[in-house]
Amino acid sequence: MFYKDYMILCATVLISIILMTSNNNRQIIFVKLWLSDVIGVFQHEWSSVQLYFDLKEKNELLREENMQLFLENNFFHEMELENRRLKALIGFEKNSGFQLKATRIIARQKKGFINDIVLGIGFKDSVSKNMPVVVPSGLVGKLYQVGKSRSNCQIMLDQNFRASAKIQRTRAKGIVDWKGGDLCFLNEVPKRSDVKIGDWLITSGYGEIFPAGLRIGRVVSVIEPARGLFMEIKIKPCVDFDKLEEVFVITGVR
Amino acid sequence: MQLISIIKYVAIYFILLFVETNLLHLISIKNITPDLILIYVLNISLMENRSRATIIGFFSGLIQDVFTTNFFGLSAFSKSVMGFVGVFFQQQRMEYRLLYFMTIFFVLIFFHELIYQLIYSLGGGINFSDLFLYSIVPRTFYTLAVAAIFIFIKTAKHKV
Repeated sequence: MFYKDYMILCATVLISIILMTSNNNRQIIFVKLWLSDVIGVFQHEWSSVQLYFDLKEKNELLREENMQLFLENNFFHEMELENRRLKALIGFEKNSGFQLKATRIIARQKKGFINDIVLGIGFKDSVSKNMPVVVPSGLVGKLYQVGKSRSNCQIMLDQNFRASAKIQRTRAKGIVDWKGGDLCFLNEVPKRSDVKIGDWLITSGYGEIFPAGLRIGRVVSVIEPARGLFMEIKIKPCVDFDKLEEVFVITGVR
Repeated sequence: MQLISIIKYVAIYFILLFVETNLLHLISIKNITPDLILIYVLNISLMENRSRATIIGFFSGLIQDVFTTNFFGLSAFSKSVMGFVGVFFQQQRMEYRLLYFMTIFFVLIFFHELIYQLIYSLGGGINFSDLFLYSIVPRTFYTLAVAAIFIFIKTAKHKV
């Protein structure tokens, strides 16, 4: 009896370790996504209850329109700066905006340094892994597991999130990450770069995941440490992650 | 194990899981939410035999893993260990003392968070001190605070 208990513990621990080391295994991902799709049906229904039925559709359309306008506006601003800097004209038709898919948040996980949200959208809606997730105020994160009708989004406030970014005013580039708390960090910006408190931080467009020009946040602290090569820059994200209800997945460029 | 007990365990589990995934964010403090499934597993480990507690812990964690986007198998691992370890603190003559249970829960929750967060953070570049101060400790106390409600009800019920 005594050994039976230990045998069971060993078996469960062994299975858990096998599962942990097989996180990128296709079969494991398939089973997990299939299960989450099944469970997602219930979560989706629950999230529907939370909304006002009459206003739901209208609200979604208005938000989508608002988002389109915001991104277009942001994009035009970026274009203006680029034109001034390069003294060249680039056709607006070439980059007139993004294709967006609106979706609701149907579940969220908050475990200190581990933060993510589950979205009611999947590959049946033509979304795929690594597509950026945004709201009118700025970047939220990216999809990193996509099921049939449900996807997992890694938000900016997750310890494993990284995004290539630049200061909008001076084009100083760096990598954004998060190490807990309410603020993010802009790393790898060389000392003596022109960065000031209040500067806007936007995605740089490098890295093939996030298109250029999405707002990330505002610089709230700039320190040039005595040691090291880089500045210590703290960023306040534009997005209030606690109040997120609906988000948009960028599925392409128009 | 009687069928009625199994149904009761499963029903309670899914209610807690539903609350954890859909409602708990409403009471999050600085990105920290309590782990209801852990409280559930620990509660069972103080009532059931070791094999059952381990298996229930394993499956509770496994289903919880399906709901989280991170590390598949990590909750299954940590919860099955907690199910197993929790049984050591069972008493032959159950004396439902608040302080005793609070201490046990504190130790077990802390141990769980330590295992869970350390494994998850491997290679993530987070300082151990940050992880400890801003994630492990707050989550331990928040989970303990919620567990205290259940413990209080349980001890009060047995005093009567």
